[in-house]
Amino acid sequence: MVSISTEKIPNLISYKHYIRPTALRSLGFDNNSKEKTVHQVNVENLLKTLALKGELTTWEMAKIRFANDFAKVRTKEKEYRRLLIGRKDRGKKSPGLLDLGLVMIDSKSYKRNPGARYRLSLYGILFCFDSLNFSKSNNDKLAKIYATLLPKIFGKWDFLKSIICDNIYNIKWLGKGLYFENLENIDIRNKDFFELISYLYIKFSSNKEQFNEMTLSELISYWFFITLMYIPRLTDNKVKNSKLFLSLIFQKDEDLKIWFMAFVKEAELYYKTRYHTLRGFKVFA
Amino acid sequence: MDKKRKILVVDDDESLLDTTSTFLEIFGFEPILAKDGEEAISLYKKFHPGLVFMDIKMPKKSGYDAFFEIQKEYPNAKIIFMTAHADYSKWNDAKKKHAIELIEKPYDPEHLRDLCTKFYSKNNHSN
Repeated sequence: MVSISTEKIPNLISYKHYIRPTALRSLGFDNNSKEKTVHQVNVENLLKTLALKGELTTWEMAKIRFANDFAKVRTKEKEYRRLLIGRKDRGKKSPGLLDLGLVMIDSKSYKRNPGARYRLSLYGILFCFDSLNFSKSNNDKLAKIYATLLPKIFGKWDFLKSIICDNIYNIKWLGKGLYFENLENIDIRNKDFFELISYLYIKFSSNKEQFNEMTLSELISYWFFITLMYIPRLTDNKVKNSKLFLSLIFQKDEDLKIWFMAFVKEAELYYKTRYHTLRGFKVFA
Repeated sequence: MDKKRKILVVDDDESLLDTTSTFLEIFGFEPILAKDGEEAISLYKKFHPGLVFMDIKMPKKSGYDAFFEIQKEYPNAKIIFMTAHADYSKWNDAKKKHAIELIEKPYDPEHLRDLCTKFYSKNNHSN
């Protein structure tokens, strides 16, 4: 089973402005032509394997494709290792999926020769949602495999899907970089959503030096539930009550309700403190 | 085959370009992105999008100039201008040449959606 890491990782702003654009560029995903490059196909295969099979060694990844043809497995394994660690050619280093933070080492395998077992990082998962055009069933599979990384979303996937239907796949918009941190660009009329999403950015921008997968998992989960008050309305303007999905979920899941409402309380306290600071503002005694 | 309707978005502010393109994807359109007026003209010629969202103040070529140039070759080009500076200097000329609307930034994403869906249901464009 995939296990959550406590290692330091970049924050979500870094995913939006560095990891994602660099990955799109260096892995060939920003190519406008209809034909995919061989490199892009290889990267896609590797990401897809990790997404749908969970943590694997390079040998196990290669074996999925070539079963018992060991010569081919060995060649493929080398290729996968190169994609993971990148390569240096004439002094120039091309980043691998590990350098980009899309894949990380989950554990060690002692089955054959000791080797690292790799898995997608949370950024890798977001990137797969964004760029691999998975079918719904593949997204469902990925969610089940990586349930420990996002317990509040992936861990409750079927339950949430039964209530919010296809809105469960809204997480892909975060994968595309819709973090709502640049609220000066858009005019959001839904005030509940506006205040909570603004506070989300404030809360997590203060601990960007201490980001790890647990913090990121919390951030993604908050983003997911807060945007349930906004994104469904964008796709279907018949959704009149912006809190409908949240209320349906919280009626049936007390744990989620307590967790989310604690966040709302925290936001309220934060804004109250700001209000009192301004209220007590004096230039002259 | 269900072909997604293409919309060209032109803005020199990358963050806005990114956000607008994601919203358009949420609404079910296929965004094409350009960072200045010149790139907009070449992408328009390449993809023939059904609709264009064009910023006005941009480096190399302003949104108005890019529109007039596109309009010379493609008189049916449909363009909605976006401005943060309330620049109405050439708006009347653009309007005479069938520019659809001028919206001010920051924009309301729901208004953007309504504009796109209204436009496509009226014009029934395939591209």
